[in-house]
Amino acid sequence: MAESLRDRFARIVDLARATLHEIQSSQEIDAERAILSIEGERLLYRIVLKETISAKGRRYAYYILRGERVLLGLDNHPDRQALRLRFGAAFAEHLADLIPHQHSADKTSVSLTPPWTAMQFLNELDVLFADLIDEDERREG
Amino acid sequence: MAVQVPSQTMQIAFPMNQTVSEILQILGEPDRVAARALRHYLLDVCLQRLEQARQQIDRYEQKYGSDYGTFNRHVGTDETFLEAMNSAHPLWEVDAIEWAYRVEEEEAWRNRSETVLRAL
Repeated sequence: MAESLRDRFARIVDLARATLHEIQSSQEIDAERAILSIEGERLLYRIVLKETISAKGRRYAYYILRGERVLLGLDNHPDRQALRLRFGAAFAEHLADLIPHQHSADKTSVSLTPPWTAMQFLNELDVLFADLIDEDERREG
Repeated sequence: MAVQVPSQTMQIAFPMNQTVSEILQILGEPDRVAARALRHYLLDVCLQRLEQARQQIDRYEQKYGSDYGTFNRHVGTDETFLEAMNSAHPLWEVDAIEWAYRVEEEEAWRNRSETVLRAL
């Protein structure tokens, strides 16, 4: 497990170095768990990635910011809005579940998504940026 | 090499360059001494890793003012709390996944420490 995770994290860091600038990364890997953190910049945006892998599953948070403002967030932490979207009134019975979801700009809305991976996020950054610009233009009318 | 200690009443010889094997023999039956030393080493490593995990957890507990279980329950059930977190700490999810990870890590190293302690 540790070796394949090491390879996987190495590929993610390599892609981050090719995609972002001002990159900072750290990782810890042992036989039972692993954690990867990456921060960097692309165009006007700040990119924050964190991923952990353990017996409890793969947790992730991939965020696009401008300064301190969240423009888009992808994560699977079970927050109340995501839990309600997935489980309705029975949401409180699922506080340990991982719920992949997306936050819009300023975290004003949440939508459920398929699980994202760090590679997918980094590969699709430009598409995500284009969506953000379209959204800004729609807001400005 | 031995150092001769002068004395009017007796002569005592202290060996200065003992091998590890010779030292083990002084401490007892070498296999048992080595096994005990290994368990002490493992306990030392377990306690170091436990302390490192706890330091990370303390950082998050101070930042968010609660333990992870309480925090996770609040963001999962309390809309007002969730809105406050999104406003005050928009990247709280980035912290939360590492916080959960460190809590699991602390538990794992505590269990390992207890296993080693039982064997001592």
